[in-house]
Amino acid sequence: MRQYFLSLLTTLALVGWLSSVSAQEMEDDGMSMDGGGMEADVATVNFEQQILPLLRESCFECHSDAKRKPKGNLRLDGKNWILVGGKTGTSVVAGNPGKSPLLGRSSLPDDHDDVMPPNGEVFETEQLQLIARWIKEGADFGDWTGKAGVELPNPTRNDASVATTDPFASYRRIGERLNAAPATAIAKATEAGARVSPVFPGSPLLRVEFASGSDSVTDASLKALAPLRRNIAILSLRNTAITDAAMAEIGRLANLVRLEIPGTEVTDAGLRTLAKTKLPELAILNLYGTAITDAGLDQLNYPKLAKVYLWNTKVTAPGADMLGKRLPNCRVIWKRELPAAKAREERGDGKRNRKKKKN
Amino acid sequence: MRLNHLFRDFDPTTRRNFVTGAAKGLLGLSAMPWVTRLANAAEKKGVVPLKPARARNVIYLYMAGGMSHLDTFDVKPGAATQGPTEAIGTKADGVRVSQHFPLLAKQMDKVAVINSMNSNQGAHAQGRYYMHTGYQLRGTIKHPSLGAWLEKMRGRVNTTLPGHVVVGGGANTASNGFFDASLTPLPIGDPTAGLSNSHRVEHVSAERFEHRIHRLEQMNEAFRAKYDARQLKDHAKVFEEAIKLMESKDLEAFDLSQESDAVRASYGDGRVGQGCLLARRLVERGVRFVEVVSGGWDTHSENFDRMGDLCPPVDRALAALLADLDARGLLDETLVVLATEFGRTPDIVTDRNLGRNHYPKAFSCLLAGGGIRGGQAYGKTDAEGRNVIEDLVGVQDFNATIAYALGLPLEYEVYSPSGRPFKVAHDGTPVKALF
Repeated sequence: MRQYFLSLLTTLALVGWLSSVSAQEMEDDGMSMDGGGMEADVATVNFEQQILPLLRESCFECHSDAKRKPKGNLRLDGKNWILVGGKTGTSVVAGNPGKSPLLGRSSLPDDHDDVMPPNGEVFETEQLQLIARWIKEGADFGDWTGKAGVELPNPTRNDASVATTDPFASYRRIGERLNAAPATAIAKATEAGARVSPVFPGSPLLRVEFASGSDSVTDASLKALAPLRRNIAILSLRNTAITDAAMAEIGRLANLVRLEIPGTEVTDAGLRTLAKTKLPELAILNLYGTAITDAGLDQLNYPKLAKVYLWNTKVTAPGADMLGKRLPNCRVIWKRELPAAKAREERGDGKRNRKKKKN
Repeated sequence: MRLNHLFRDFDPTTRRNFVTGAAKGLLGLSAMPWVTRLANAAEKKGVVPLKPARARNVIYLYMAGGMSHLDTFDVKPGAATQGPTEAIGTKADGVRVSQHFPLLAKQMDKVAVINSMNSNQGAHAQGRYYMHTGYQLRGTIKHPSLGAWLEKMRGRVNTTLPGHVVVGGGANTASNGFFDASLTPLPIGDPTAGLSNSHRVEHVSAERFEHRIHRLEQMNEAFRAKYDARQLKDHAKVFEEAIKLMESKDLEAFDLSQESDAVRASYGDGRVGQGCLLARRLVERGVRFVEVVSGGWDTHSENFDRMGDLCPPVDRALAALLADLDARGLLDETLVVLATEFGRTPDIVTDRNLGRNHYPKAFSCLLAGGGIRGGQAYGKTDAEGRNVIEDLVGVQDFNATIAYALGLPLEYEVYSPSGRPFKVAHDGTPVKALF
């Protein structure tokens, strides 16, 4: 009971303080605020000296590369990791403590299920105030960058998160700025063995597929796609005879969202060539059944990449992990978890039963 | 192929009868009046208002006979109606399945369970027909099933392979209904036997075969010029496709011996397992709709013993299928369905060694892949599995959900030969919460 009261008081105090901060937002001199009881200590919060120790002590155990899968996919051990945030998006919104989950989750009542840090090891009120002030002052990290391994996404980040859940949102968005592909170009591609169809009815974006397993589909087959370059959103070359030489041409498909080249002769060299190209919309990259190794993946960094298929390649488990860590918004499918083969007693299929029924 | 039969039946009938009678009965061709022809023409112009589709393909596992919901996916531990079947946890929080699905339990993060299915058809033929077509069985018309609708509206992906295939089903499940004969599903009895009659017999050389086909063409040409009937064109199309497939590399899709023993064993060596493996191979090569039928679920007697026989092959097959599709990047665009005609009575019939009878009031189906949000249980029955108490999903709604995933227009009407309008999922409303 006493504890409950205490936590209630803490929360109330903090809420009161936060609102006093926002009340002062109109004041032109931000330095004049007194920090809710704190003395007029006008020195700005130093992240490395004042905030980082708190994070290191209370958060890194679960939210750093110490874990193979950081909780909530959130890492706090690097500047970019903090800004990119976790499952629910960014953890810190500079200048806005009220919208920063890092503070919000930590300011919940002590006995709340979602309070951070968990297990009763919550922050002290003063510590929370310090974090709030740091955010309010613009969340300046100073010279500290911490652990690298993630590039800050461009400002269109919202689109990227949409792409992972609903490809149609991105098809619609991309389609809006395009004209329909000329029918003659489509006819030409069809002649070269491609199956061409709109990604959805009425969309200028195209799905282009070549027959799976066809030896007659080679690097040269892609030449016929040149006039369709801007319109191709899905390109499927499953089990065809294309090689690394095709990658440069594929890299020119500016609006490619899904690339399927499983079971082809493509190697690390080809993947590196591809990685050098700009494919700003690429969300799905299917490479299963190729001879790709870890080395081929190191350059891979498309802003919207949401899924990479690596089953049945030469990529190692740590290599796949590394990619997943480097691209936290990307699901890396490295394994095929088929059930272990078992015994014959599982036959059944109702044959025995049917016989019985006749009796 | 069917050629021999064709000629055998040709002699005793007149030519005219051949057109109207033999073709209809023997080949399943139905008369297509001008209404449908107009509809077809309209579709060819791209008038069918297709919508964005999450799924492209469907693998439809059908549990023929009526799968007990309490002993599979709507477990009620502790309830009097549960009997000896136990519940186990799954990879998805809050989703439980019965003890018979330990392998699928590990894949439940990919699966949405619907526990609030409800049908008004309590007999096998009627229930099965309703599930497949969204319409009630009646004598005046034959409705197309979902696979035929999909092929009709979306066309084929791979024009060499059949647009839709039924493995181990027999003719009474999936059907082209009143659509063109070319939309009839290809039936495959034994998935391990390959595609029967698809190879040229040894003593006929390639040249000779070609010569025969050429001769046939000559004969047909004259005949077709004289009798310009749609059914004849349909037949010619089917025939032409069969020959094209005979010569195609795609034929190897049907050859399960190309899979390693380990993979085949992983799917299970029964008909369901090998059927699912075949389904995966077909979908990979552009077949839109594959139904795999598992029989024997009509557990009026010895329900609990028999669940122990019936479930494991399906558990294994479905678990392997989901893992395999996922690793290949096919699950995003392939909707995997597990359906049945009805559930089974919560009350256990004691005088038949613990059986369960037909129960359409509440049952369970599964959806996975194809844009479905996995790891969720949708809808609820009461504590004993008797009545749906939350989010009822009717048979038409279930089919509408499948059609919605495929981007098929739910309101679009296609006319039957008698001029009546029909829709892909009848009047169903898709359950959008599943996506």
